[in-house]
Amino acid sequence: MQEVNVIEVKEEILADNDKRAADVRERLHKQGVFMLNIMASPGSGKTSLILQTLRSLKGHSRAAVIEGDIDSSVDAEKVAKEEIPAIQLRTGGACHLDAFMIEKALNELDIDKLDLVIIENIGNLVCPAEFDTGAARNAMILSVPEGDDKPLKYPLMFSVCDALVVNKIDYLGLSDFNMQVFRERVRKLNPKISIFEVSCKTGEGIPDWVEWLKEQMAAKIG
Amino acid sequence: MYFANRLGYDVHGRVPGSPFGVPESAWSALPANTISLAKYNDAADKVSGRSRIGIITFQEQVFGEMHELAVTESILKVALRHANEAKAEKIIRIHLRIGCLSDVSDEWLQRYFDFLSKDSIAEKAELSIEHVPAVFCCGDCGESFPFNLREMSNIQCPQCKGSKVTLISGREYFIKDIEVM
Repeated sequence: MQEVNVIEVKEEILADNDKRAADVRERLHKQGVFMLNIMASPGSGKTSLILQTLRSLKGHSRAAVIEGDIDSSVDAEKVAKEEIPAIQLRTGGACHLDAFMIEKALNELDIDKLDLVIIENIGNLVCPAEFDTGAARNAMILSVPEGDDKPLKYPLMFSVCDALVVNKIDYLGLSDFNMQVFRERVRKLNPKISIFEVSCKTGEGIPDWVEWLKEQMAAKIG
Repeated sequence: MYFANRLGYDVHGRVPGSPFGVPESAWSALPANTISLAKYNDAADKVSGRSRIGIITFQEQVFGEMHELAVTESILKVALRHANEAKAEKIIRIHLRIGCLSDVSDEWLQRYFDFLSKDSIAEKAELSIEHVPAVFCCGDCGESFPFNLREMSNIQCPQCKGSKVTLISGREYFIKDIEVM
């Protein structure tokens, strides 16, 4: 009978991805490019927020978008109509984007001519939170119709983001979404998160969000 | 599939039966090396409006993927590296610590692991998962307390009823050790 030995490993499970993400972050920092990763559920308004943001940033920064999708390019086409370079990542089933995929997408972009890269992650509040993409900042969107209980169900997502955009506030009067309770729940998971209440439809709140983004870009790239 | 290319070893070859609940007929119709389909079509271009869209496709869609698959890939890779360094012949058990903020299904983790580890020294190894509860620390009195995030809504210090709390554990994603022969 052979003897059983225990080997100490003590490693993070996703160390490979974390390391690649750190490399991507360092590379972009050296090139003076700010990358923002946007995560949210399907239908919460990721593409709408990105389009609103790009329009507001016209003349301020040169942007490109990396669109993650399981199997389509409709979002990239919407972005391209704004004359913004877009890379569509079709994951073919994978529920998240990781640093390896992002690196391939960045290699397709003319990075010297950019100041900002926005990632639209796969629509999902679970998996994308686990995988560092190499972005300088993470933001998430929660739309009012999804309900104020989401921090209880998807705590990791709320805890890894630097900013939270509460979209579709034009629906507030039609729903029982309690903004104060929601904010308290989020703050307990993540006291440092910046929260913006917006409506991509009416444009309300967008300037504050864009201002935050500009500040983050300035602080990060200097 | 895309993940297979990133493994530093060979996981090619069809496994008898159909994995992940794919109908046997669909699975049999696929090429024998389906698990390594790893398609990365060198950025196809598409013109929309006046801009160019680069399209990168990572894999042929064979079946849906959950993030457990990518997580499993990493666990296997790390375990094999350590076992090989120690010249072990077989991996029997892998001890993991996973914080309860992560939505990882134990059952799927093990199923994916069984699939990916076929014909390696980790074949039939058991994943032993220790779930680490969410623990908060009270900013007022310093008390630390576990909390079930999914069942209760109001996080409050049981000692002083304070609500200025900070999450101090529950985000672990860690391989502790492996048992080998």
